[in-house]
Amino acid sequence: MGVFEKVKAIVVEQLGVDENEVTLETSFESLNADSLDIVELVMALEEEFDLDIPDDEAEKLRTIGNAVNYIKGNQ
Amino acid sequence: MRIPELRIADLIAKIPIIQGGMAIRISLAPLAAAVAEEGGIGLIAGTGLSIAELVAEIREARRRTQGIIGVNIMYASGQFAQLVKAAFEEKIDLLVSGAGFSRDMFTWGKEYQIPVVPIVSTVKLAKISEKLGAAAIIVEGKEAGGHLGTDRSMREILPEVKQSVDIPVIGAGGVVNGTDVAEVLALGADGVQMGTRFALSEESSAAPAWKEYLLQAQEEDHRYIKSPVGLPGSGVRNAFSDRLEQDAEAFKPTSCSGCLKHCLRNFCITDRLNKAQQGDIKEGLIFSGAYFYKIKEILSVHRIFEGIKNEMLHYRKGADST
Repeated sequence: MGVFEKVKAIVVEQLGVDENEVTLETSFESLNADSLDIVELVMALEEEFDLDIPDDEAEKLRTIGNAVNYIKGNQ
Repeated sequence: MRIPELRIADLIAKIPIIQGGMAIRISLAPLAAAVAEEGGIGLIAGTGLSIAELVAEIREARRRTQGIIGVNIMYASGQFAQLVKAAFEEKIDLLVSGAGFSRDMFTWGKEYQIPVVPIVSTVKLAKISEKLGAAAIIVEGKEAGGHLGTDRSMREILPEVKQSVDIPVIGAGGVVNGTDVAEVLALGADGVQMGTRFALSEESSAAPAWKEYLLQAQEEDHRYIKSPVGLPGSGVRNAFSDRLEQDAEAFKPTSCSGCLKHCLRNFCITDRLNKAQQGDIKEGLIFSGAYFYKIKEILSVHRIFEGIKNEMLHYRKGADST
């Protein structure tokens, strides 16, 4: 599985959304994720990809594509 | 009831009371040290101070007491990371933080071996905090002063959180006397946090005019004010808040120092809180818990503690506490 597919699977599980809704352009806001959802999501991504995403970086993640790029750039 | 100790990591407070951090400049060294001297935990409010001011307050508090001194720094502050690290370099006893949620602070806490205590209003965030390494949790309800994260009562949320985590749980919001403390402990809390009662102490750094205004305010003067931080703020009405209610655009700032990570810019909260603390009770923003009207006197911290201990010792669970 590629990074996008793994991120998508986590987003689908954490936010309880349909996988057809999740594209690289999808924003977390459009998936109705609140700040707490984002915290949980970021923690799940950290665990899955074995990396640390600091507060400042996490705040910049607005779309699925942002998250995928961050992960690819920091693995 | 017997008065239990409050343990947070290796810290032991003889009286299970944390004095809430009250920014800007309401809880500084004199108040925090006086509370620590009585066996509670004193918190210096770091939000709105410069790094140099925060360091000076921590050193002054240490000079005054051997007791437990922590800092409260709001996550929404633009200087959050710098203030926390400065306090950690000063070997502060604990960090309390609310109004937003930092994950980084737990990493820093581990690095410096300093307990981190987040203020939360939901079971979900309490569980996340425990997983991240929180030493204890402060559960804050709608009765608290300043920025709020819920419209539920602390007395409702606290038992739920207590069942969900294995770290100490501290109740905050609406606790003004010893009977309240005993009741919240009876709900399962390991301690309480009290703000407004200590804001109305002799040692609080609020101007005398601020204290008098709050003391004379009536129950119906309580207001929720839309804070530029993006959360409702609990306070007491005055000329400033009345005008803001009528015209949300009335106080849009013309200049900005960028003190918050994100600011709605409906008014300058730093400027308004500073004004109030300095005694401008017409134009300042007066934050307060919802039960300020139950407080009838400005007392020394020593007398506040004597009263609370006495009421706790005479508390009987289930007895009519009116």
